[in-house]
Order: sequence, then structure tokens, then C-alpha cells
Amino acid sequence: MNESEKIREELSELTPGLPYPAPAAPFEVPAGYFSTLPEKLTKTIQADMASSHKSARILSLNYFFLAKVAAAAITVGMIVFSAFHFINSNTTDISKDPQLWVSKEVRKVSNERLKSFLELTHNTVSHDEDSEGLALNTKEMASLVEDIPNEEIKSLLNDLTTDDGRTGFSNE
Amino acid sequence: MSVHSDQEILNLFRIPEHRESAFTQLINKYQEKLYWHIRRLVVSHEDAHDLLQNVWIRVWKSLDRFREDSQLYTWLYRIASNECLNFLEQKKKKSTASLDEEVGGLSEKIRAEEHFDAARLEWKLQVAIQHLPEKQRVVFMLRYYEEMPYQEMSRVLDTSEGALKASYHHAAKKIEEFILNH
Repeated sequence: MNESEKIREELSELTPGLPYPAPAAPFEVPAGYFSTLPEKLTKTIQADMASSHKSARILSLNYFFLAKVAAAAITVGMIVFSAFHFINSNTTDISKDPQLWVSKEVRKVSNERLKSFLELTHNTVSHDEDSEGLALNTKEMASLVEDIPNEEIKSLLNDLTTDDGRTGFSNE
Repeated sequence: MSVHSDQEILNLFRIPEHRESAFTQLINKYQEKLYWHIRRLVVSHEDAHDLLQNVWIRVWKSLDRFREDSQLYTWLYRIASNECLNFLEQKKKKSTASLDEEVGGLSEKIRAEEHFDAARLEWKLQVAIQHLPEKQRVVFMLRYYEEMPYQEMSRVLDTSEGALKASYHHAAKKIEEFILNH
């Protein structure tokens, strides 16, 4: 029993209501259709190949043009990037190297202006430092003696010796 | 002209000067089988002719890349079946009508055929086939008309043999029932 017979037997067991072997399709086909089809198909395929060659040529032209544009764009991009990188490398980032940044900036200022700035800031800074130091000392002292009774402070002051040799800071 | 085996045709096709004659031999060998496979699926001769033409163009373009890990006729049926399924899918999408109306449309096409005879079994069979879902229709055609082994069908439709057996069983029962009731 060949493969087809085996298949038919299996199918007829499954569905005995269907005819075996399968009947030919009852559709009509135009006269001479199959005898002329190979020639028609060959012509159609040749025409299709010719048109696809044409479109392939157009595609290749477009491809080369696009490739040139892409190469030019990449070159321009590289030049712009290099220029940007070069400019950035000559400027110092204050967050990365503040000392270098300050020294570069200071070089741009004239000596006269620097001199007057230093004089001005020196006076201001010393005045501010004194007053701030005093304020800190007063605050610190207050916090240190906060828990000590007045009597104890008075007796301590009486025991201390002044610069001129007298004993006691108390007014009493 | 002597009839060559598929392998001989393939070997000839790979020689540039024999390429066209080998292809003509291939068309002569399979044109009718493929035509009827397509025609039963799409019913109209015009649609079948257009699809068959597309199939052969595809075959011409890709026969060089045919890897021979399946039989040549399996590969041809694969291209033809996919072409038909895509065509039916597109037709369904284009149509604003429901699926039932579309099935009705293909059945009506069959009834409009010149020699249609509702009493004859082969016509009933064609009408019954149009009531199956598209892929099940292809499964039924390959098994019932082409008597293709499940192993080959599996290569044509990229579906497991088990699924194909179940699908064929279901389709054949539906067709048998339709024929008995009409």
C-alpha cells in the first residue's frame, strides 16, 4: 500500500461521508490556459525583473547620494565637536579647580584695582573679625557660667590676681 | 521533452545558461497542481491567476536561496498557501462586511459558476469548504486533495503535526456534516 492509499484509508475511516479519492474541482478554466501559462509567466517574470533592475539603479543612485550627504554631515559634526572641545579645554571649571580659576581671573585685574580692593577688604575683615570674636566670646562666657551660682563666681574673682599685682576683680 | 526530477531541475537552475529552461520545466511540472490549490481557496479564476503569477515570481527570485532542507514541492506549496492566506486576510480587512457575509460571498461565487449543480457532490464539497476558517481550509485541502503527509504539511504551514491532525479531523467532520445536511 503506497502513501496515498494509506492516507485515503485513514481519511475514509474518519469521515466515511466524503468521497475518496477526492473528486476533481468542478470549476471551469479558460481553454488553453495551462498550455500558454509558462510562456506568459516567463514574460511577466522578465518584465518584473527588468522593472526591479531599473528601480535598483535608482535606489543605488539615491544610496550613493545619501552616503555622500551622510559622510559630509559626519565630517562637519566632528569639526564642530572638536572646536567645542578645544574651547572648553581652555576654560577652567570653577567647581573642578577653584584655585586655578581664581588665579586666572585675578591675572585679568589691574594692579591698582587689586591694591585698592585689598586695602578696603583688610579694614572690613579686621573690623568684622574683632566684633564677631567679641560677640562669640561673650556668648561663650555666658554659656560657661550659666550653671554656676553668683556666690561662687564672686569668690573665684576675689582669688584671682590682676596684671598690676592686685588680688580680686570684684568691685567690693 | 523528458521530465526531470526536482533535484535535476534545481541543479540545472543553478547553471546560468540553463536557468530559464529549468524554470520553465518547473512551471510545467507544478503549474496545474498549484493553480488548483489556489483556485479551491479563492474560487475566482482571475484571483487564482494573479496569485499564481505572484507565486512564480517569488519562486524565481528565491529559488537560489532554497536550502533543500525540505522537498521542493513542499516549498512551492508553502509559498502558494502563504500567498493565498495573505490575500484572504487582506480581502477580509478591506471588506466592511462581517465574516459570515464574506463566507456567503465565496459561496455565492461558487453558485454563480456556469455549470453549478447544487445536487452534485463535488459542488457541495466546494461550498462546504468555504464555511471553514482560512487556515483550516488550507489544512483540509492539503490533506484531502493533495494527500500530503502530516510531516510535509507541518513544513508548509509551520504548525505541529498534532495540531494539524486535530485541525483536519475537525474540518473533515464539519464538511461531512454539511454534505449530509444539504
